[in-house]
This record gives sequence, structure tokens and C-alpha cells, in this order.
Amino acid sequence: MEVESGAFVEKARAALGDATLQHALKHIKHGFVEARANAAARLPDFEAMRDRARDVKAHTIANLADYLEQFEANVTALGGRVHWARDAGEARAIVLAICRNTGARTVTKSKSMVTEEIELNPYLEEHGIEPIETDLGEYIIQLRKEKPSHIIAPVIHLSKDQVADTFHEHHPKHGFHERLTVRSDMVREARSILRQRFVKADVGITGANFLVAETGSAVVVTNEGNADLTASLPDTHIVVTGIEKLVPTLDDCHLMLRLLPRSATGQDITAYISFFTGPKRAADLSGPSSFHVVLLDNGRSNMMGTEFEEMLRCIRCGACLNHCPVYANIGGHAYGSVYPGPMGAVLTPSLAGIDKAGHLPNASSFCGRCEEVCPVRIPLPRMMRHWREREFERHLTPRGARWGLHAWAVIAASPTVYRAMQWTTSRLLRLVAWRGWIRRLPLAGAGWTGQRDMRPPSGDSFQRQWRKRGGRR
Amino acid sequence: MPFSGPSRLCAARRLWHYAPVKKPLQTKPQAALFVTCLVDLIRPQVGFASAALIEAAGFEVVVPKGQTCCGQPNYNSGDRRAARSMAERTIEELEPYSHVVVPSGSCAGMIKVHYPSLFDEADALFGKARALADRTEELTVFLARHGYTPSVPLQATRVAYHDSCSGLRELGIHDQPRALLRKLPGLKLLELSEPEVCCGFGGTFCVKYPDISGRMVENKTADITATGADTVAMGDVGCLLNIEGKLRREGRDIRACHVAELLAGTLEPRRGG
Amino acid sequence: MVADDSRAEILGRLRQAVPRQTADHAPPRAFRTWQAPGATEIQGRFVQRLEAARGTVEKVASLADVPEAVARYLAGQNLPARLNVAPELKSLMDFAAGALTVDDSLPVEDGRVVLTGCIAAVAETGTFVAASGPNRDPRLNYLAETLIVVVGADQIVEAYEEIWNRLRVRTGKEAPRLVSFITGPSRTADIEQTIEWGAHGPRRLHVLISDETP
Repeated sequence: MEVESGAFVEKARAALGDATLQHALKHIKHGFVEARANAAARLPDFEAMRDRARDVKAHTIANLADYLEQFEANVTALGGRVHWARDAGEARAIVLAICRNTGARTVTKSKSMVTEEIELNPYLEEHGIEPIETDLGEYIIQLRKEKPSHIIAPVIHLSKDQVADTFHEHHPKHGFHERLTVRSDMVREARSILRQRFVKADVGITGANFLVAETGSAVVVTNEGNADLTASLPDTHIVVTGIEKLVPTLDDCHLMLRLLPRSATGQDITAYISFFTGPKRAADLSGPSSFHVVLLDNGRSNMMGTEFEEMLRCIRCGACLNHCPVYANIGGHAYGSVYPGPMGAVLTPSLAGIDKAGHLPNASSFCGRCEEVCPVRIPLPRMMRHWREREFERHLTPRGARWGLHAWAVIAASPTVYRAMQWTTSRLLRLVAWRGWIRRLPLAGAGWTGQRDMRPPSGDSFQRQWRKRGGRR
Repeated sequence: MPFSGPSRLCAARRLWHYAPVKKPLQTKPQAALFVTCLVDLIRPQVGFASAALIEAAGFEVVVPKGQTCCGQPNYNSGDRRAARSMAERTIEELEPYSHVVVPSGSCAGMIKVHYPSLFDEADALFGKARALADRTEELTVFLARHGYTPSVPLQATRVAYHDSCSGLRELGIHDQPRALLRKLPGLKLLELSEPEVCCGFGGTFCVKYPDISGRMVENKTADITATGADTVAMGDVGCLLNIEGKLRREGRDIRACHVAELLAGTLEPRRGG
Repeated sequence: MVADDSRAEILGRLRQAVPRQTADHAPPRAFRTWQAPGATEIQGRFVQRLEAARGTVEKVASLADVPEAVARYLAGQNLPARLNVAPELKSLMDFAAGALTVDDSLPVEDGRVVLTGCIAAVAETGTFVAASGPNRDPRLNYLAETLIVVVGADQIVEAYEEIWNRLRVRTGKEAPRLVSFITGPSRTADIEQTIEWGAHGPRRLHVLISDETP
């Protein structure tokens, strides 16, 4: 999994100065945050469902090996095949081998973050197979050779004009030459082009939002219906997904399905929720004759038994991104990982290593809103803090910060030293103030005064004044 | 002199640093004010306002003199070991008091929510941390619970209230400060359009990621300005420094204060922009 | 073989990390999913939720009335009276009555109309449920630009879970290859979080609730 979080600070700064991006990100509030609040309010048992969903997922993760075996047995009994991939490379090789066996030239894909994680598209292209993203957002970023900036809204960073330019650049080869500016016309044009690709595709690849152990079903949620066309028209259907997507029963799955769209887009239900169970049966009129599920580990099993195990409950709704004040201001690309925002800040270091993802768990003010909205109640800030602890233990925390923390710990250990320090700092701050305000500070303080002023202390420290006034101590 | 510490070392340290606890002169119950290092250093007047309020609520205020920092900066930066020893100090320091009041949602949250998680359940300090968590209250929660009614001159008429994230989400502080402010006759309480959004302070976050933090507080001051408030009140000096500094940098004529200052009527007179 | 190694290694890691749990999975629990007045009025709820999802609804007394209702709907939408009829409905009604032309080629081109049945419908969210089977072609549901669905009044159930009872999956029958919960027309909000209808599937969804079940 490719992670480029080293340039986080620079990318975030660029994002803050990008007027088009800033305008695009404004849609999060109405499109997601308010919609989720309304959807949650409409469902009487929403909070109780979240508790139950947390418990169901925790139970499943604790017994994951058993449920995976049950799932595999059910898929196999129906004539499907389950493949196990330890890492991205194995997963890619499995998919390629299936495609080659069918003699596939083109593959339609519905949106799948796991295939982004394993970077499937460039690999298939290198091996002469053309992958075609069919989710409108994924299609747009595929044309633009970008990565998704949000796990459920891949082009949330783009304006309509940028999409218009992209279509205008790429669609003439399909016979569409006009630069469209009306959204519905743009959608119609993309639909028309993709419809032809659907019909001609040799293999369809989808992800899975859930896997149901008791039936061997892969469940896919969309609004466009593209996963259904992907999985229904070609003769081969490949599901590529992570091992943590299991739920034990259909009832558990419906519980999750009541929470997922409400948490994600604020819909009570998405337009399409499909349960795919095995290949076409002998008497069926249509459907793929071969059905494969690729189960990806890629670091997930290493999270078991650690303080990050609870992250395996994640159902990828994106609510934590939508409610994160950092994400909302810089968008997803600054994070340099296909999993951005709070869930990415915990998951990315788990999958790729903390040394590659240093900024991610740090770039949070710990406001806690992510945990507040998480449908399966993952304690995201706590886990980001655990990553910071791992960094500190491994001396990955920047040296200046380490020294500062050590110094503060020494100062705070002794009231006498602490009081002396407060006295000195108070004096210094009052000294550098001009007309009642501090406008510029050196070192770490420069980060503060680069953005805002600071009012100096009004006088000696509270404890000193309290003592002088004879207050009880 | 009672020694309830777990080791002779602690007891010895207390003997060295502290005068024996005096017998209360009156029958009023005592409340310890854990003033927090930010109030101590930057906003001592918030400490005095808090003390006045606690007293007005019927308690005798004690400021335990060995108090320093609750350890939150180290805790949130991954320096768990230092955070634990700072917590240990604070737990010992506050051991004698049956009420501990903190004029900060985030420091109170550190003590109430995070201290117990720093120790193994088998550790004696775990029990003490839990006990301290139970005895500790954020200032507005404490005042609301003791039915405090302010009777002070009104110092601001159009007041927006800013919720600190820790107070709001870790401690569920939402209604208490608002109810207290509404008790000030003539005060019009205004709500922000996005009261649940962080102001961008976040402890060390604001100096580690100044650009992002700066944008967050810019959004917050815009929200505050849009309410038409003359004053924005809040329960955390971290948010206060951040919001006040941004308002000032933007040249806005809106005063920022700690909610204790308004409730105690100790706000400084308005100064020109 | 590499594949077997991977399987053993993944399952081994999972089992090693967590001591085997003995706790049973908690039994299913029912949640309230709506509390509107008259919540027992299942059909009313279905209609309300479907309309909220941009579907349109019309009631017909019997299957014999369907062709005429379809013709009327198509005329009202200024659409040609030409449609693909799903296999499960074909023998149940007479399409000549409504002056409709039946075109059974796979509806891949723009503008195609499909009339289909369903295996059930769910009041909770105004959803109809399509499935694969010997007499069904669920592809039609996704290819049509205008989709007209016949729902029998007694096919409407209260909540999603009941679908699996109807399919007898809970009593040991294998699940169909595809069970698809469809709610309203196809849509996308990818461009500037603004909803556009007819992303890949139907732009219009019209439901005929028939007192007689197909």
C-alpha cells in the first residue's frame, strides 16, 4: 500500500490555499453532516442499534477465523471459490490469474477501496487487461489519473467545472465533442459511454460492504446500480474484500445496513443493496457462471490482539471523515493514503507501518467528533493516541517535541521548579507584549503567532497571587 | 497527621513541601481548586473568578500548593510514561480533598476520563485515580449541581457560548454553562451555527499544525461574528486564547472570556480594539 | 501450494492472536425502525417511503388492469408504448389490451422501458426486492431507463429481515444467486454532492401495487 504522508504539512497548506478545493469541501456540511443528523433523528433506535452493531462486530472479529471458514464453506458448496491473500501482491496475482483464465480483455469495476489499497488497476493495465471504473466518481478519477480523496465520495475534491473539463478532454474518442456544463447532461453522457463498456466487459470486479457467514453472501451497497451491472452482465464476478467484512448472520447484516447509509450519506437506505451468493444456478436465466471471493489480509490479522483490534469493526461509512474538522478543511489527498481522515489515521499505520504514516495520527485536535458519530463506536482518538505512543517509544516523534515534552515532565514533577518556570514565562511574555498584545513569538510560539495574537498574562501566576493575598492553600 | 499515600516516599515528599492541612475555621465544606497551568500562567483572573464562584456556592476554597500540570500535553503526545507520573503526582496532591473543581473541560476530562486508563487495574493507583475522577468536577458542572445563582452586575448582553470539545464530548457539558448564563438577568445567550465543531486549539495541535489550526479558528471566529455577539464565553482557557487571539488578529470587536468571569462579574472593562 | 499456505497462515494468525471465544453470538434483537402514527399500516408506509425516495405509485385492482395502467403511465411521461416484459409476468397478462408493443431484447440502449415483478417489498424504506431465479432476469432492473414494478399488496412486508423468511433461506434453503433491495431510481451525488437521477439504472421508477399478487 502506497503511502505518501511525509509531505502532509506542505500538502495541507496547499489545500488550504486552493480556492476550488475549498469550495468543493463546503458541500460536506449539507451533503453529509446535516443529512446524517436528520437520518439518525428519524430512526427511533439509532443509538441502541449502534451499541448492538459494535457488539456484533466485536464478536465477529473475536471469532473471525471461524466465521471466515463458515463463509468459505458456504461459498464453496454453491460452486463459488474463495481465495486467500496474505498481502496486496497475492491479491493482485489471484485476480490476474482469474482474468487470464477467462481470457479477459476488459474488466468493469464497481467502487472498492480494497482494490485501491492493493493498487489493482495499474497492475491489471501492466498485464494487458483494461480495468474500467464504473462508479461515476471513480470513473472521473480514473480519467484524471488521481486517487480518491474520500472513501465514499471519491471526487468530493472536484468542482463541476473540473469534471466538465475532464469529460471534454476524454470523451471525444467516444463521439462526444461538446463541453457539457449541466450536471444532468454530464451524468447522461458518462452513463451512455459506460453502458457500452458494461455490455462488453469480460469480468466484473466488486468490493463487498459485508460478507455474511451463514449464507456465503457478499453484500454490495451502491446508489448508482453500477455494482449490480458489474456483477450481473459479465460471465465472471470477482469480489475483492478484506477479511474483516464478515458478519455472522443475515439479521446482523441488516442491522449494519440500517446504520451504514444513514451514517454515510444520511440516506435511510441506498438505492441498491445486493446480496451476491455463489455463481448462476443451473436453472437461472442470467448471471455469471463463475463467482470468486478474494479475501485480503494485508496487515489486518496483525491488528488482532493489539490496541488497534477495534479498528477492524470499521464499516467504511466515512462519517468520521465527514465530521472531522481537519479533513473538512484540507480534503483527503493531503493525507497521502487511500484511507484518509480519522479512520485512515488509525488504519494506514496499521497496514503500512507507523514509520510511513507519521503525520496521520498526529494531525488531529482530538476533538472526538469522529468517535461520536462512528456507527460501530470505534474509539478513534484513543487509537490515534496509541499510535503517538508507539512513535514516541520508537523515537519517531520529532526531536524538538521530545525535548519539549521531557522538559515539561521535569518541570511539572517539582512544584518549586514549576512555580519558577511559571514566574519566568509570565515575565517574558509580559516583556514581549506590545500595547497589551503579543504579535510575534519565536520557536514553537511562531506557529501560534503566525495565525493569531496572544494576550500576555495579566500579572503574576494565579498561585503566586493567591499566596500573596493569603488565600488558603 | 494522616498519611494515606502508598509509600513513605510520598509521605516524606508531602512533609517536605507542604504545611500540614489546617483545620477549617468554619463548618463550610472544602473544595480544592485545581487551577490548571494555563489559568495559572496566562489567565490568573479566571482562577480568582472560579474561587469566588466556588465560595459563593457555599464552599471554602483551597488551592493545593503542590499542583502543577495534569499531564495532558504529554499524554496526548504519546509520552505515556511521563503522563503517568504527572497523574500520580496530581492524584497524591489532591488526595485529601473530597471536592476538586477544575475551571477547564479538558483538564477535568483528563482527570475524570483518562487518569484511570493510565494505570493497571491491579495497581493501587488505579483505585485512587477512579476515586479522584469521582470527586472531580468541572466548574460549571459543580456550580450547576450546587444550585448556584449568580447575583452580579451584567457585563455583557449578547453572549455566544463556545463548547470545548473535551467538555462537550468527554464530560457531556452542554446545558450547565448555558443554564448558569441564562440566570444573569438581561443576558441574551446566542448559539453558534456549528457549536459542536472544534476551534482548532487542540493543545499541541495548534503549534504542530498551525495552518490547519489557523483555518479552524478562522471558521470559528466567523461563526461567532455571525451571531452578532459582543462577547463569546467558554469554559476552557485553551480555546479562549485561541479564539481571543484570532478575533484580535482579525480586528474584530468581540470580547472573549471564560464563563467564570461572566458569572462572577469579574470581567475586565471592555478595552478598545 | 501458495494459496493453502496463505489460508493457513491467515487463519492461524487470527486464532493465535485471540484466545478462542466460547461466548455465543447474542440472539437477534428487534429494533424500532419507525414510529409514525399508524405504523401498522404497512402499505401506507411503503408508499410514503417510496415517494420519499423519488418513486411514484399507483394502485390497481388486479393484474388484468396492469397493461392499461402501464400504457397510461407511459403516455403521461411522453414515452413510447414499447417495453420489455420480465419473464415472470409475461404469461400473466394480455399486453395487446393496452396497445403496448413488447420488445424482449436485452434493454441496453438508452430510453428502454421494463415492466417487472418482484419477490417482495419492504415498507420500512419503500424498497422492492428483486432476485435471480429460473423465471427471473434481474438484469432488467438495472438496465431499464424507465422501470415499472408490479408489487402485490400482500407482498409488502414490514422489515428487511422478513424477506429471508419468504425465500425460506432461514429454514435451510440456499439463497438465490442475487437478492437485490432496490429503493427508488438510480442516482449519484458524486459531482458536488448534488443528486442526479438515472446514474446507471432507471431514471424513473413507477410501482403498481396490485391487490392481486403476480
